[in-house]
Amino acid sequence: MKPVTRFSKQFGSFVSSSLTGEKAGFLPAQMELLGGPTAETFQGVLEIRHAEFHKHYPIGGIDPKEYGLLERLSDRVNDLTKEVALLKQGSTIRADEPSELAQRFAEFAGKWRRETAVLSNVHRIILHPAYQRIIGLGPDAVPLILKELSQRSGHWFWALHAITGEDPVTSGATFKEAVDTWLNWGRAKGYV
Amino acid sequence: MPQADLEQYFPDLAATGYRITSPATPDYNCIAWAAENTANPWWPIALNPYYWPTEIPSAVTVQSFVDAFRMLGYELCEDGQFETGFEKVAIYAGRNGEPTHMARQLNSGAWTSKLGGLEDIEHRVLSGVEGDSYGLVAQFLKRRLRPDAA
Repeated sequence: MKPVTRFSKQFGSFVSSSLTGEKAGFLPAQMELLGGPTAETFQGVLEIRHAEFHKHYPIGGIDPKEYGLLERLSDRVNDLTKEVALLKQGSTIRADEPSELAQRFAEFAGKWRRETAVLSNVHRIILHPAYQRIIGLGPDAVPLILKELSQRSGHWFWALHAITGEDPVTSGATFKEAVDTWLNWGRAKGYV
Repeated sequence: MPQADLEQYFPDLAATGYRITSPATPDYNCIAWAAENTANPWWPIALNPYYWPTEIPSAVTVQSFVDAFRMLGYELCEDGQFETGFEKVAIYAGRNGEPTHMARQLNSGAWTSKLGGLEDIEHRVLSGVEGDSYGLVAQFLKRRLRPDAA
C-alpha cells in the first residue's frame, strides 16, 4: 500500500488542534491508525471521524459558542472527503470495489432509470423519490454520479447542482456539451 | 431498449403498429423532437442545458406548450387528420392536465415520437402511446409546410 504521509500530517494536526478533552475520546484509535495510514485506513479514519462528529455535534441543540467550531469541522470533513476522492486516482483505493454507498447508489439509480425511462417531464424526472435519495447521499455520491454520467449519460445535472451548489454549464450548451462540462468539472476537482 | 420492453410501457403499440427509428438517448426529449431539435431537451425549467423559449412563461401547462409552438409557426387545429401541405403536432396530457408528451406527424400521415430517454419510434396512430404513461391527446397544432419540406 502507498503511504499517505501528507494526509497523516494534515490529519494529526487537524485532530490535535480541533478537538480537546471529552470530545477527543475517539482520538487514540484514530492516532493508532495514523501510525501508517494508507488510503484505505484513511477512509476508515474518516468514517470514524464522521460518526464521532455527529455523536458530539448532533443536529439541533448546538451550543451557540460551539457553532463556529462546528462549521470549521464540517468544512474540514468535507475537505478531507474530497481529498480521499483525490487519493482514489492513485489507485490506493480501488474505485471499482463495491462499497455500501456504491450499492445504494446503484439501487437508487436503477430504480430511477426504470421508472422515469419514458418521461419527458424534467420536473418529474428530478423529483422522483430515488433521485432525491441520491441527492440525499450528499458529496460522497458525486464521484458515482459522474461515473454514471460518463457511462450512461442521463439527467444528472440537477443532482450535481443540488449537491455541489455549482453549475458550470453555460447557457445555450447542448445536452452533450453539458455532460462534457460536468465531467471536466469532475476531473478538475479530482472526482473523475 | 428491446421492443418487448417498450411494449410494457405502451401496451397498445404492438397492435396498432410501430417501428423503432433511432437509438435511445437522453440528449433530447419528445418536445424537442416535435420541434425538430435534437441538441437539447425542451422543458420549462431554469436549468442548463434544458431549453424553453425565453418569451414563454415557464409553466407546465398545455397552454404554455401551445404558446411555445406558436413561436415555431404552429396554430391550433381540430384533429390529427393528415392535410396535404401542413405538418401537425399533438400534445398529450395526463389526468391532471399536465402535458406529458408530444408527437409529430410525418409526410406519410404516421406519427413520430421520442419516448422520454428511450428511442424515437414511428407509430401509425396517436393512440399507440396513449395510456398510463402519457394519458391522452389534449391538443392538436398545425403549420404550413416549408416549401423545401413539402
